[in-house]
Amino acid sequence: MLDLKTLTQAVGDLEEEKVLEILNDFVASKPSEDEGQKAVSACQEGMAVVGELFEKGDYFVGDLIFAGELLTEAISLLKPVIGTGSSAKLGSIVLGTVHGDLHDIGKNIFRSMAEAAGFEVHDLGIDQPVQAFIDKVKAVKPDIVGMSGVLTLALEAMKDTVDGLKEAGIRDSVKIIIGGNPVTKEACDHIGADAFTTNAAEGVKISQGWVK
Amino acid sequence: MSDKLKLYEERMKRLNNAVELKANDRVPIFALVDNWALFYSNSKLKDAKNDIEVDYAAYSKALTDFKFDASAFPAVTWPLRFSESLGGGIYTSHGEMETIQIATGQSEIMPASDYDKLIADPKGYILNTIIPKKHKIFQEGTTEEKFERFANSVGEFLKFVQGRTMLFERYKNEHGLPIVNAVPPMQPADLILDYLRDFKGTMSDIRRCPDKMAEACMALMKLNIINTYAVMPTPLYDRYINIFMHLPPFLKPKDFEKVYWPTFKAYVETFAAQGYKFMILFEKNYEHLYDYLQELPKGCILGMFEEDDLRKAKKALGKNICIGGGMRTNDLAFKTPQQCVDIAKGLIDDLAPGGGYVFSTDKILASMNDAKPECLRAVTDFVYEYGVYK
Repeated sequence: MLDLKTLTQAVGDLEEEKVLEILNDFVASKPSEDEGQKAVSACQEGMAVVGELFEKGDYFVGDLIFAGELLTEAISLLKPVIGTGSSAKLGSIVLGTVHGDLHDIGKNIFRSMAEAAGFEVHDLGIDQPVQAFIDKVKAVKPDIVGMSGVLTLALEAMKDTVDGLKEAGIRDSVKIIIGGNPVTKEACDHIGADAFTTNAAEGVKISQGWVK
Repeated sequence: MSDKLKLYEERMKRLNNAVELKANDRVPIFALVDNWALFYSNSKLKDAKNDIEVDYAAYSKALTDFKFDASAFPAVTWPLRFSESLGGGIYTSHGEMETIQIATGQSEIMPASDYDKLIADPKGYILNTIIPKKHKIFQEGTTEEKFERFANSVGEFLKFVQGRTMLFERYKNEHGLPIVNAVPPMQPADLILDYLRDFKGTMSDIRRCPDKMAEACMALMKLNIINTYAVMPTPLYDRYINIFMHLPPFLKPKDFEKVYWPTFKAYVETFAAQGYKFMILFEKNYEHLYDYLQELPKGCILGMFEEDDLRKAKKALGKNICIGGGMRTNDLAFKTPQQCVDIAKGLIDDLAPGGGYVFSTDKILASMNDAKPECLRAVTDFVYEYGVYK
């Protein structure tokens, strides 16, 4: 029988070997799909532990990046068990790095933490034009739009994107969060976003607050 | 001695006094200006990269329109033509942004299983395995054609370096402005991050094979020492070894101690002992690493801090390191000149007493959004007057 608490703890502690050992043994025991889902949830809870340790200052960004890798590894091991059936989602996010900016580390960290928290994330990628955000928002009708950027020029691109969503008449159908090195309260006001953060774990908490 | 050369000596002495933690006439004002200069003078990056006169006109205007005592850089900081001649690299000038940026997620070139090869022969491994794998120009054609393209790239690089050397002299003779930047090789773990393993690979190595990574860093550091002597055979009073640290803010102290600190400390100590000075960019936040940094040698480091609380930094590190920075680009971009002056006054009041402080921006000015010119003018004019030691 799978010890879910131990699994959560091992993910939280970023103990890769232990996590893989537990999951390999679990998969070998031919568990049911329902049991598989429980294992996925336990791993995702481990990611929440990682987020807490990051906010406490025990973990740093490097640990978040590795945690994302570990979670991807864990879920791919569990894929054959859980099949294609998807579990209920907490909410959905359209995410992308705005036009002109080529950075993706922060965006990717936010994505893996948001997915672990139960969001369905539609990641557009880097250097995304305003129209790409508009088209995706129209297509998937998300709860939240997340815009990422590292350069200060990205702040203008974020403003363009919010203005574009306004012109398309869909600004008020979503909450908008901006993230990355240059975002500040002043920048957030200037852009017209609903929230800003330089901390992926905090960004996930803000997003959770919006879909409760 | 001409007036410009006198001014040069006076400014250099002021900066050196601050770095050596000595009494000074006033707080030096230091420019961390890059592509912002192009926006400020209505120039384009594509023109500046092709014509050193455009480059110099733009940067010298930005560096002399404000009361700077010295600057880190003379012109566009990255040899774009060299990168482009190699078939592209991680530093790129995205057309729309008109500023150089690093494209992430493209540098996992070395597999983790190759650490032993890197350790055994760092130079040979990079030259014979990584470079051909990384750069398009080595991936097709005859050996002769490859050599020809490589020679062309080396030519572009040398042209860039010679251009910079010429500009140092022009700044000195025409403006009396010291440009202190001397570029040595990157710190080993930063090289692994930026060029060999990228973020995901590096962070995994720190977990999975930290000893191998540390060993590779030590092997690369020995090469770094040789290469630094090649760039700067003896210490110069008006050139600082520049270190741009990339990896440490992402690491917890325990990991920093394993993979970064031993080589970084050894490198700095080697050159400090011979009288070299350093300008170190502590990008992002270093507060979690002060216990280590306070062991660095005394009176030879200008530490430019970005997100740290400079008041805390000076308290923790001021005995050894000259603290630089403080003026947030966010304030220069969004606040009024008067609000910026009030912030600058607070910085001088709290950080200048006792010396060992250099006024500057928290970040390199890369795009127009990083500072409104009127705000930058207000704070540099203010510190020029108010930063006098009485």
